[in-house]
Formats: sequence, C-alpha cells, structure tokens
Amino acid sequence: MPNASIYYQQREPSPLQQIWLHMSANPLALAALYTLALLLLMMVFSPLITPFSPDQQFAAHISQPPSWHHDGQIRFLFGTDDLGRDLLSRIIAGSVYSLGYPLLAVVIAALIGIPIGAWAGMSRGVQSSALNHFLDVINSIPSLLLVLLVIAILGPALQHVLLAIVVVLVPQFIHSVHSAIYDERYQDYVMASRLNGCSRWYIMTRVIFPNITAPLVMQVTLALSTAIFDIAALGFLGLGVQAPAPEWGTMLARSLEHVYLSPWTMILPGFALFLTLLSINVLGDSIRAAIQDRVRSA
Amino acid sequence: MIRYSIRRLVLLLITLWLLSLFMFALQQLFPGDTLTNISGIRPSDGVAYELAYQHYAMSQSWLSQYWQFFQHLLRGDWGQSLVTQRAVFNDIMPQLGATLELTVLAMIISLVIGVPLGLYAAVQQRGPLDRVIMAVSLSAYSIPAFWLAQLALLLFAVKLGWAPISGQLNPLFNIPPVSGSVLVDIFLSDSHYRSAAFVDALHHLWLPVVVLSIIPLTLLIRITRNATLDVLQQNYLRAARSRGLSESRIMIKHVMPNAMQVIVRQLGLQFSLLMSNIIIIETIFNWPGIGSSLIKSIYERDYPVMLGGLFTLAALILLVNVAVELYHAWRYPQVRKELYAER
Amino acid sequence: MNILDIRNLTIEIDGDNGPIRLVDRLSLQIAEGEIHTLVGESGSGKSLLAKAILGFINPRWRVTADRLWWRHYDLLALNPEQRRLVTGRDMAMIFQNPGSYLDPNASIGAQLQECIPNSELKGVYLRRRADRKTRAARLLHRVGIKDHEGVMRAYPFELSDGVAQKVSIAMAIAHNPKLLIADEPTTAMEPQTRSQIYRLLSKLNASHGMSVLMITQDLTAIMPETKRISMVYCGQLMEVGTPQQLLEQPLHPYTEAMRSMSLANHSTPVKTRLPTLGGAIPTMANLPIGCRLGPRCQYARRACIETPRLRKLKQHQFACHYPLIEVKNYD
Repeated sequence: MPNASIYYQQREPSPLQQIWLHMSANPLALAALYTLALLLLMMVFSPLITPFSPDQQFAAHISQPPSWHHDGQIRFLFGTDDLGRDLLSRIIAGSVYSLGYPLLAVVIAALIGIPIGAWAGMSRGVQSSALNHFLDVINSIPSLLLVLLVIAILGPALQHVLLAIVVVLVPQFIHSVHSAIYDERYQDYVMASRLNGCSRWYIMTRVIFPNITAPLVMQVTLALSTAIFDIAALGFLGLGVQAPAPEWGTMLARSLEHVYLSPWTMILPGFALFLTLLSINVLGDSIRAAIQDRVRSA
Repeated sequence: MIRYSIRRLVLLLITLWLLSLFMFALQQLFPGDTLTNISGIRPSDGVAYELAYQHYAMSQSWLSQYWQFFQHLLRGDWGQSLVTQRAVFNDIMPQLGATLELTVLAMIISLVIGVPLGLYAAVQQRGPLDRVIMAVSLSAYSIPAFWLAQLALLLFAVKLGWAPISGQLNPLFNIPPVSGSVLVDIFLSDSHYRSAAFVDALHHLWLPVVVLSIIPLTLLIRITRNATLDVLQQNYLRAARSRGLSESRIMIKHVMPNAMQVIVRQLGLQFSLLMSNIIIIETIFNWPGIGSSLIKSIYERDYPVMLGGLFTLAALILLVNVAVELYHAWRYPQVRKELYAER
Repeated sequence: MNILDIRNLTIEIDGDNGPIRLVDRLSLQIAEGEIHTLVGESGSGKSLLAKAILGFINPRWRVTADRLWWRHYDLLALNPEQRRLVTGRDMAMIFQNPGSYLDPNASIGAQLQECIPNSELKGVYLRRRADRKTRAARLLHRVGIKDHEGVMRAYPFELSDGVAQKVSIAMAIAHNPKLLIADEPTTAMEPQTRSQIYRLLSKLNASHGMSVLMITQDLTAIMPETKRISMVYCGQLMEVGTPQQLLEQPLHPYTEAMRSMSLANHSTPVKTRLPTLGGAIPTMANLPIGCRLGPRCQYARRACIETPRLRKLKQHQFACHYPLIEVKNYD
C-alpha cells in the first residue's frame, strides 16, 4: 500500500500529547505511573486477592518471619505479626485505608475547594485581599496540626479522620486555585479576551483554566501525598483509624513494641507507605516538569 | 520599608487576635464543661470553680466572657492541667525551649548541608552526581517521618547502640530545667559534671535532630537546585560573563544571592513543615517538647494543655513566617516594589 | 587595519533531521575605530554572531570558522579561560532590555564597582575602595548621568530603560574596551532616548577610538556615523557596503527590498501597494538550500539553489548571482 502522506509534514503534538511524550521519555516517571496504577488495582481488588482474611489469626504461626528468611514459610509470604495475622493480607487490605480514603478525601476536597477558589480568584478588592491573607495564614499552619485539632473536637474514629482531612484540604485547594487565577487574570492575554467582550464565565473556564492546569495538577498530587501522610500519621499516633483495622500507620505503631523481635512488621508496611508516597511524588514532579517544559518551549 | 514593616506587624497582630478568637470559639466546641475546658478546674472542685466562674464572667454575655478570656491569655494565666493540676503556661515554656532546640538545630543542619548540595547539583546539571543527589532527595522526601524515625531507632539505637532510645538527658545528671533546651540548661547550671552532661545530651540529641532535618534537607536541595538553574539562565549572568568576571566571582556575587532569595522565601514554609514533623518525632523519641505534650493531652482529653499547646505552636509559626517575610523584603528590595504596586 | 577578522563563520546545531546551520559562512571585518552596523531581521543569526565573538557558546552549538581573529589572537585556538580574559579585557557588550541584564539584587554602585579592573587601582585596601568609588562616579558622569549618588544607591528595578542602558554602557566602558558590541540597544526605546544613546556611543567612539558593532533590525535607524553596513538574512551575508552605497545603489535584492520598505512612507505614490517582500521568514527547521532568500526573491532563477559567493566591487561586497545592476569588473 502506498504511503498516503508522501510529503513529510512537521506536526506539532497536542499539549496533552506533549506532556505524555515528555513523561514517557523519563523512565522514572513511567515507573512511578505503573507503580501507582498497580497500587490502585491492588486497592480496588483487595478483597479478592488477599490470601487470608486480614483479621484471621494463626495461633501456630505467631511472628513468623517473611518467606525469604530461613525460618519463613511460603504460605505467609511476608510473614505474620505478633497475633499471627498474615502480613501480606493486612498490607493489601490496608491499601483501602491508606490509599483509598485519602483519594476519596482529595476528590471531595477538590470538588468543594476548586469552585470556591475560582470564585475567590475572580473576586476583587478588599474582600479578595482579606481572603488572600486569611488563606495565607491557614496555609502556613501545618495540616497535621489542624487535623489533630478536628480529631480533638470529634474524637478518634475513621469517619472523623476523613472529615478532618477534607476540612484541612479544602482551604489548600482554595488557596492554590485562588492564587493561580490571581496570577493569571492580569496577564495580557486575559485582558485581550476581556476586550473581546467575553463573559466572566467564559474567561474563567476557557481562557484562564487551561493555563492553571499545572498548579492544579501539582496541588492534587500534593494534597494526595498530604492526605496519605496525615492519615498514616494519625494512625501511627493512635488517633486515627482504630487498632484492628489494617491501616499502615496503625500497623507501624503496633510494630513499635516488637521491633526487636520482628522488624519485618515495621519495615514492610512502612515500605508500602513509602512506595505509595514516592510514586505519587515522582509522578507529580514529572508532570510539573513536563508542563513547565511545554510552557517554556511555547 | 518602614511602611511595609508596620503593615506586616499590624497584620500579624490582627491575625494573632483572630487566633485568640478562634481559640475561644474552640472551647465552646470541645465536649464537656466550657469553664473546665478553659481553666482546668472541675465542677466538683466547689469553691475554686465558683471563683473561676466569676473570674471568667461565665454568667455574662459571650462578649465579656471573651474579654476575660483574652485578658487571661495575655497575662499568661492559661488555666491548669486537668491531669497534673499544674499551671499550663509554666509547663509550656520549657517545652517550647525543648522544641525550639530541636527545630533550630535541624534547620541549621538542613541549611548548611542542603544549600551547598543543591548548588553543586545545579552546577553539575544532568551530570551523574546531580542525578544521584536528586534521586536520593526525592526518595528521602517521600519517606514518612515516623517510619524514618523508627528505622533510625532500629538501626542506630537498637542494632548499633550509637544512641539512646529516647529522652533528653540521663536523669542522673539532675540539671534543673530553666529554658527547656538541654544544651542551654547545662550551660546555665553549676553542676560539677557539666562537660559529661553535655556529652550525654549530645548523645541523646543527634538522632532526633538528624531524623528531623532529613525532610527540610531534601526539600532545600531541590529548591536550591531549581532556583540556581533558574538564575543561571538569567540575562544578567550573561552580561556579567561578558564583562569578563571570573566564574567563581559570578557564582559568589551573583548566582548565590539571587538563588538565596528563593530559598529565603521558602523558609517559612519549611518551618511549618518542620513543625508538623516535630510533633511525630517528639512522640517517638519521647522528647519533652510541645508536640509530645500536645499528643498526650489529646489522649488524655486535657483541654487546657491542648489549647495552650495549639496556641503556642500556631503563634510560633505565624511569628516565624512574618519574620521571614520581613527579612525577605529587607534584604531583597525589589520584592517591596511588587508588594506596593497596586494591581 | 582590521581588529576583528571573521571568515566563513558557521554555527550549527543538531535538529531532528540532521544539522541545522543557524549561521552560514558569515564573514565580517571591523577596522579599528570603525562603527559597523549589522542589519537583519529577527532570527537572522545576528545575535548568535555576537555571542560567538564573545565566546558564550552553548555546548550544543558547533562553531567553526576559517578565521576568527581578534587583533593577533586566534580566538578559536584559545582555551575558555584565556578567551574570557581576552574578550573580557578588550570587548564589551550591551543589550536590548538593559534592565534584565543587571543583577536585580545588587545596587548599581556595587555592580559598577565590580567592573573596574583591579589593575587600574592604586594604593592599599581603603585607598582602593575610595578609588573604586570615585572611578564609578566618573564613569556615570561620562555616560551623562549627573546624579551619580542617587543612581549608585538605586537597584535596577528603580531605573528607567534609558538610564539602565546608560548604566550598562558605563559598565561596558569601565575597562576601556577596544570593541563594543551593541545588540539592539535601543529597539524598545523612545526616539528621544535612542538618539541620546546614539550620541553617547558616537562620542565614545570619537574620543576613545572604540570600535562599535551595532546590531539592529532597521536599515533606516542606523547611527549616522556608521562606516559600513552588513546585511544578514537567515544566517547568510547578503551585502556589505557603506551606508551611501547600500541606500543609494544597492546591488542585492534583499537590500533593495529593505530599503524600499523603509523609504515607503516618504516616496511611494498615492494609491500604490506598499512594497514588501513576499512570504515569511523560514523557520529554523525548514531553511531553503542555496541562497536562503531564494523563495522570496523576485529575481530568483535556477542558479540560486547554489549559495552565491561573496563578490567584491571595490569596497562594496555582495552575494548574489543576479545583482540589480550589471556588474562587470568584480573579482
């Protein structure tokens, strides 16, 4: 079959394609993407793929080392904890708490925060500058402190943790969207569309929004890693998800007492947490770099 | 600059005042008796409770209640702990010293190591060492602080025995706490074993400080590298080269000050980050600071202590942020132009 | 006597489909004390040429030349450190957007004092410092800034464009360079400021014998003292001659087009089309072979797919197969 395009034409790839091209050129970013996808799959299918129930206790196999240890058994791939529960099952089941709930919290917070931030960014005058200062203050207070505050009022429980994280993330979303829009709306190209007689709605959704995707993507990845960290930290401090639930932070806290005897109960859940955070951070970082690169070369 | 400083300080005062208002509102939100939450005096404590009831104007409108609360706050009368019955303010001040000791040391370490490494990585851009530094810093940044602390404890305290597992100082030394910071206290004390105590304190100190400094350190490396790369592309560096200045002079006189500007701007944020990690680190290392006492008070539902800790931490963060902003505007004048320019 | 002698300078970078020649066999000679103007549209490689002379070479560029001589130094044979010393001592450059070429976080005084070479100062530490200061003030006076104290205390963001350009000139002349390269120094400035800068440059040229390589886009806005003009298009040299030759009797179609465009406002008859060159400047990735003006040139013929040699008619050089007037005795 003859080639239809005889004449070689230089085609500029679309912005999304460009970002993808940039990312796929970076093996680290791809690895992070696949790891994250794998973790998400693991989370979704966790009830199906856990070899045992996460709460099932094997009295005969208390503190069994992982299978690669010379006392280990292949039946318990990652070994068991001090109550004889299979560690692999607990880690897989824990992804629902340590990855699923943060994801849910981020989605809810984004749905609430982005519209408010957009509205705030388009407003002007005293109202805007007061809001700006207020959000700056809220943002400078560490999220963990605010989460602790909410927990102190409501008491430790899973749904309260979720609520606390959402409450903390919403101002962060508002702040980042607000300041991104604030930076863009005085640019000349926005002025040009305003002179063209575009409505405020059109300017916001069609003119400004495509140009703030970079800060938005960064904010989402940042929020996700904050949420994961905070839930795990609360679990670790014993103020979040309560004990029998296989949350990674809670498992770490529990392992603290047996760390001399069974270090794997500490290393493995922590590693799962680390891997999740790392893949999210690498992904966010490379998306940001790709977008920056595209903007710079344009 | 004066106009700017005054504006900033007024904003700080307003913010602190809002914080006190927020604290006041929180007390109504906490479960249990409001007066008990403020003062730490239980209703079963007949006479004292009656007295406090009048002191805090509980029978009058919320406005005068707030006014009384505000006055107590300013006076440093933050009630007493529900658990130990000790005055909260007197307990918190040495804790603040202990927390600040960790924070300041960690900040210094991360600045002293992070900035040169970031500069080096930027100069060696895309070289093998740059890649190594960036990869290590990105992964270290993703390690949750509590896991890192556990790993460090397991390795250095349990396996190698290079450091004690927890605490600030061997209690045998019997150093009276004055400021809360061990090193300062040892210096102030007239104990015969000052030098031995000093060594012991350093022995306790180094592991939490190192663990605490890892996260700002990794971030600082990344910030410095990106800022330096950005500066290296600026026109004024090209101009400086065209004048025949030597590479080292350009680095010291032009690249570093301009890269430092970005770093200084980020310092406030770094401090906030450090504060959230210090809560966890203090709990793990059993360090007698505000963070660990805050967590303990949440367990014990000791509301006066909790509120005092929250207020102190929040105020500290706000103060540091304003100080950083003021320094930034003072050192880098062109920032002020952006601030004044009305849009 | 030429102080700068460039023969067939070529700058290439690697593109997606093989190397791209950004600058194609460009030659340039500047005599001592001459004001030479390089005219070309944006993207014609004139700034690249300036950078190549000064040695700010991006590692991705391949710079080759038959000859790149500065006085008796072969610049291509020097190592970067030697080259920095030679160019730093003898040459200086000023730029468009002068504000962005000043360090935003250092006061003007500090930056100006930094430019004064140590070798010119006398005495020990404190004397030297005082000497530096008076010399910096004198430099500002020389470029026509009277309020030297105010300007030295100021930061770059506080200066207007014109003053910033004067300050950059003061920095450039701090070590008495033999050659000043001015890369579109007045493009974004008002005519008033432009003539001030031009007057300053020609004064420096006259009093110090400093050669000036002026780079500009506009054939009509050249300095009145210009000795020779080089026309560049897409990295190729089109024509070199005195302003009189180029403006009255150009030999190259490109020069003719530029000239008629610039003169159009004054001399075009009513209701005629304004003269322009058809088409657009080709992008870097799609440069035509041969004479790069070819696709846009109304006189282009088959021979134009080969790059014309630079030919010489007395002091007038041109690179065209079909010059506008019949030329017999060139070599």
